[in-house]
Amino acid sequence: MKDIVLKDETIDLNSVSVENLKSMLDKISSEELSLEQEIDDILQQLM
Amino acid sequence: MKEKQTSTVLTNKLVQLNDLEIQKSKILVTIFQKTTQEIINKKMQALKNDFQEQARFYGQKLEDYEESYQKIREKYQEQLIQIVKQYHELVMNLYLELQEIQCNQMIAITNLKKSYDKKQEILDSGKIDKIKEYDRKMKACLQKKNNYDKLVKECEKELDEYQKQIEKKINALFKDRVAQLFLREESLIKKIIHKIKNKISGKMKFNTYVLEPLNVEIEMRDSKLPDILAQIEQETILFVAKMKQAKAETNQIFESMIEKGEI
Repeated sequence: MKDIVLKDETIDLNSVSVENLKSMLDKISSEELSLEQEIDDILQQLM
Repeated sequence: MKEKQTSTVLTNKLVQLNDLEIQKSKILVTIFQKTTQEIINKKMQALKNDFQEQARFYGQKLEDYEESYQKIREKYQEQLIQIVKQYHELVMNLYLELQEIQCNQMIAITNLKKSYDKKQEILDSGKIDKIKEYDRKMKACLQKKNNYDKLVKECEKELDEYQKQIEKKINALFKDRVAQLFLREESLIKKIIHKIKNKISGKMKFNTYVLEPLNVEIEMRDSKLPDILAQIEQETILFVAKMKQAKAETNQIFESMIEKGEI
């Protein structure tokens, strides 16, 4: 549960500081946002 | 060919999005657990510092109060853990709702693509009378996806709110006593008088002004705790019920759009 794989590297989240976790979260959130936008664009094309 | 490519791209993007959402959830849960543990540690350290400072102020040896302090410490920690545990349950319920909504959203997108593919097949076969049906399905799926977007945002907002609320709530319930300490720079004569007073009544004052208030505070909190825990539990139940209703409404809108072609 507490391991994630980022860029083929397994990270034990328990060993990461809260500050670093927050910056990881920001990075993932911005990737998520751009992916959602790309999905929305594809859906608009289909409509 | 182009449709197949779009389908593959969309599927890949959905898989990537799903991976990101799983990673995000794991990070959010870890942040929550670490942050709450930090809050507990901070509170326990503040209690220890306060106890040591007060003992010094009243000229008392800490080892004489080891047993009393351990009892207070254990009870204090137990109360903190009870509140954090209840919040943890609330937050985990929020995450479960969020995950379910995100999963439903992906299903809506997949169904939209399926309807699109079906529509293309019909267009190719020339049976255009059925096209309207698939257009309706696509619109309904898109609406469903957009409605879930709102629910995802609401869940994320609530999660953020509760993370902030925990520290505030704990600080209000477990007030640091350091601020109430009466320590100041004194002249040599006053220091000597203070030492003499401590020799005579330091033990009694430490009992009256430190140990007794701490025990009373813990007892009072003990009596308030069931209500506080019940309130957090109630918030969990209300939130889950609210989400259940919102999901039912989203499905109702979807069904209505499929059946009648309108909201």
